[in-house]
Amino acid sequence: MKYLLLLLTTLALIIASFSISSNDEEVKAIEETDSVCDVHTEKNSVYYWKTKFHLDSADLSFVRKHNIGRIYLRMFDVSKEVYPTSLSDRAVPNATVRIDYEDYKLLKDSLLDLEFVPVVYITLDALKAMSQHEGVLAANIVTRIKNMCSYNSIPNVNEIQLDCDWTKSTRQSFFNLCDSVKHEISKLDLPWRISSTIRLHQLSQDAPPVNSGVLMVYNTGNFTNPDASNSIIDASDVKPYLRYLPTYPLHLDISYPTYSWQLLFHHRSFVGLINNLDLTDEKLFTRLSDNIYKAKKDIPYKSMVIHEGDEIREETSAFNDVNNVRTMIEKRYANHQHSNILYHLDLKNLNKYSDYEIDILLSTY
Amino acid sequence: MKLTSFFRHISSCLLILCSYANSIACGPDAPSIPTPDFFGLSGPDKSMANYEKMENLKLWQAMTSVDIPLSDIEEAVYHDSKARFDNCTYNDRYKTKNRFYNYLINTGSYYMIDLLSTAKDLEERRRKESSPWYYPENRFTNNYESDYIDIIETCKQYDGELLKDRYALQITRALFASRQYAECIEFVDSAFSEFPDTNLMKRMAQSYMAGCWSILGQTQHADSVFAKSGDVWSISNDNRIDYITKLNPDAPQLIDYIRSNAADTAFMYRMDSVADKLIGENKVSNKGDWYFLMAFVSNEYRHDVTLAGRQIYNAMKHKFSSEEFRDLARAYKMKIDAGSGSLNTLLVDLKWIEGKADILNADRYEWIRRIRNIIYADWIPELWQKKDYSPAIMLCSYADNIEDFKSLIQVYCGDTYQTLTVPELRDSDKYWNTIDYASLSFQLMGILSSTQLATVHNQMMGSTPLYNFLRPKIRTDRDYYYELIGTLALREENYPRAEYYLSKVSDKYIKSMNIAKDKYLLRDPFEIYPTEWFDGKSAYLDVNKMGSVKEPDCEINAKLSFARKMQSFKRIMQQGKTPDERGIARLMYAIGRYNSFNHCWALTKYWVGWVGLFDPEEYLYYDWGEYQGKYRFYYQYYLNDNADLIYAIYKYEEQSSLAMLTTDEARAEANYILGNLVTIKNRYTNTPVANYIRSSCDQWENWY
Repeated sequence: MKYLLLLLTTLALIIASFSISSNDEEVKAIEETDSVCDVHTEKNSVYYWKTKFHLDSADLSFVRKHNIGRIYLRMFDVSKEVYPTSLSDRAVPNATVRIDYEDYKLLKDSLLDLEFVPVVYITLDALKAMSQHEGVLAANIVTRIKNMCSYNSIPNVNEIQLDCDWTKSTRQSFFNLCDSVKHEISKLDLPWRISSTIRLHQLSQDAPPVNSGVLMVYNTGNFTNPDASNSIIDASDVKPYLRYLPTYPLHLDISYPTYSWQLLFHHRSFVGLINNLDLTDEKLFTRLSDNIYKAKKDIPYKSMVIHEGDEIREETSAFNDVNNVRTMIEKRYANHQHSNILYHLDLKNLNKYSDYEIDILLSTY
Repeated sequence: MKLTSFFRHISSCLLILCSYANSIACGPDAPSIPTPDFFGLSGPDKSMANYEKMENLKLWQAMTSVDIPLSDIEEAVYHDSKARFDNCTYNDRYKTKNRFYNYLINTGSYYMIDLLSTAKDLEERRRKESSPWYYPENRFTNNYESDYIDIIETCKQYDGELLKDRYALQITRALFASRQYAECIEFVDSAFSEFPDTNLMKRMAQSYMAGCWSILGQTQHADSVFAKSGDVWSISNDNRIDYITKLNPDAPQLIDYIRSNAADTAFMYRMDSVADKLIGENKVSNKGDWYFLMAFVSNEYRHDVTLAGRQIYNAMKHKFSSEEFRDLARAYKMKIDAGSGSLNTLLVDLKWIEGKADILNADRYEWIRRIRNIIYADWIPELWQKKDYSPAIMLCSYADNIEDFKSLIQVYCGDTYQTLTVPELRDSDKYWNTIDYASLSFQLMGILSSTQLATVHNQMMGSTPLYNFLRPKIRTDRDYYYELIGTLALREENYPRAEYYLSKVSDKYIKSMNIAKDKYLLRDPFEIYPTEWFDGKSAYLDVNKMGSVKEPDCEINAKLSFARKMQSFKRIMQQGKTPDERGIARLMYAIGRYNSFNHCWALTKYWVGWVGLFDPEEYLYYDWGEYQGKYRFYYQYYLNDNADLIYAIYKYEEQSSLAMLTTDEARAEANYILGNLVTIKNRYTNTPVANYIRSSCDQWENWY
């Protein structure tokens, strides 16, 4: 009996040591794989989310003044093709960013100190259309980003980002896409990490298989709701999700809004987004509350009419609102190194903030 | 005025809905006139590539082996990817049954393999560049050009003769794909100068050259090249027909282009003058094609059947672009002949067209559809209008049965299908006869009077070449016709005639009829309420469990029995000894007559209800209203045909017969027949009938 116990103990030790050594190897392998990710450094960052890439002197001045080191550049959207002619074309690129020669020269010669992160926005319809064939979509995305970077001389690309509002039902498909993108990157021997946007509601779910994420702290409410006060950012909308933040298994940078918009409602139903209406014109609008206005008469607007009685809600990313949220997040995330990102680089909006306010928003604890 | 597509669609939907809503007792399906192509060319749009492909396949066959099916060549040359092609030709372990691949490998034809592999490489690169995912890699080098340099170099290295034109075509395509349009034009001019104009590769290369001219803004130049190659689809000129008829009127693609637009009324209205001019100026060699076009326009759009007749006969005297098109013209001639009522060549034409419907012909079903269209849409309305019923019914029956008279029929039996010959199905007292009572010819016979149908039957047994041809292919047996004549006589209330014909119908036949299988004839027409099949509370009741439904009398032939009884009552009505006897007989006669048009409709009809009349298969393209107009004589088997009149007659007869009665016994008997048991109880208490009721009804309330 004694010998039997001894034998069993010895066997257990051998198995345990084998298990430890194999775990060590696994860790080492992960570290080796993750060595690509280690180059992620914290930098003040902005998103660039227009269909034409063009930085004028004011934009460049903003970038320099606020020590912006990384630009997340939207390259194209991926949408569902209504009449696909092949499997590959079930999802197709859309609204590809245009980069003219002068901006190409700028990128090639003058922005070499900036890091660029190409971003691809994938609609849920496109993701569903490529379900079970995410590998095909991944190959298309990676090859196209590679060619776009090369054609437009986009400098210092170490990472690409996938942006998708995936939910529980589409989660697996998105995760498959992330895995496939990683595989394609490695197949083409590209020195890229992969990151993903993380929406607040996604914080409570499994993290996607990417190297890092960017937490989007905007569009926090439902903008089609006529009773919402501010759908862009509202601390009460954000707060419930923050308990997941400290333990989230991915490195996260945080993205804050700096945009504003006007939302049109007809009989309390959301009609669409409008821009640059002078809501202070008392001949046309009556102010109902802080940010809600009512049309006094029918007003032609582009190819439509804003009808008498229609309501317009003006939503902005007021510094105090954004900073309140930032403070909440920084308190909970102080122990995690991260960068703050502004969404997005558009001086028409950014000029509403002082330099000091911009620096505050970009600063971390 | 033709119906709009939308209206047709809506009306069709309504008609279909209505037909199913109203049809009871499993009436026939809505008669359908097939609408196959005659002149028109429906199906996927053709393009120049279709012609080039077919010619190219034949060239490959000629270069390799005539034993290789074109489908194998098509698979290898047109459909397979480069990866598969390379596997099939270079990888020893990759086995294929494709005879084209096996020929290339077994004969060591690597010069052909190299060409095709290069062509596939080029095609895949072109496809990649036309993908929405394509994005060039370099801003300054012409990516398109650099993408094809290696292919162009490979092709230039070929120094043989056999594939010289094919390699030159690959260079042309590569130059076009790399946007080197000026170089492409120059190359085609020089590289193909040594080849004749008939060379397919040269013609294809010239199309690329025309594309180059077009992109460079020289559309007129491009159009002239397209016109010369017959590529009517690529001509940008507003009036491409006029344009091509000036430069290349004999292009075989031209008539196909017109055929594919045959449903375009405005377009076709212009085409007969184009055809007339081309024939008049002697500019076309296939005059048959163009006369056929003129006949089609005259008949379909101008409704001038006389002119169409002259034109189609002219067409048949001239050369056609293909034998297939000549066949279509001849079939169309049969339609025009019907319109003009000319029976002269009908027999010869029928024998010819029946050969086209031979079981070995791959297009057999299309030809059957054409036969049916010719007969249903053209011959029957024409003959019916002339009251020429015998050939109309025989032709209709021929068209109905053309698929069946030599075939096996599948019938549904429980959970499985049973296969029977037509005679087996006709004799069966078990399986539903799907061919003889739902057919259009049977419906047409039902329109006639019993006398007319008897005449038709006599005539169809006569010996004329046309009848002799048709008779073996249609049903002419006495049972089938006499049973129908007898039924028509019952509908006409001509009971002696009905008895005459029905008494000659065999019991075996009666048992084989669908109405017998469905037990509709079990309803007793002399019961005042013979068919309480719906009790208002529960669902449809099983006839076999109904106490009120009697098994028929010893005679199986319920119609014959009915005819005899009606005659018997008639005799008593006229010769009965007492008013009571005559009155009771008059009441029974009235009840029998009334029921034979109502609950016992199976005595005078084969189904009741309403179905959509002629729902053409392709109602979007053909004028449905036109068919309906042609069949105004068609009889709909409404259950309530003259319902008010029939009921009024019945009520009058009922009251008159009751008024004839002189004794309480007779009145009690009459009220018993009428189901008025309470009346008997209250008014005729001391009659034998009242006693019988009292002794028989243990649940009195059931009798209310």
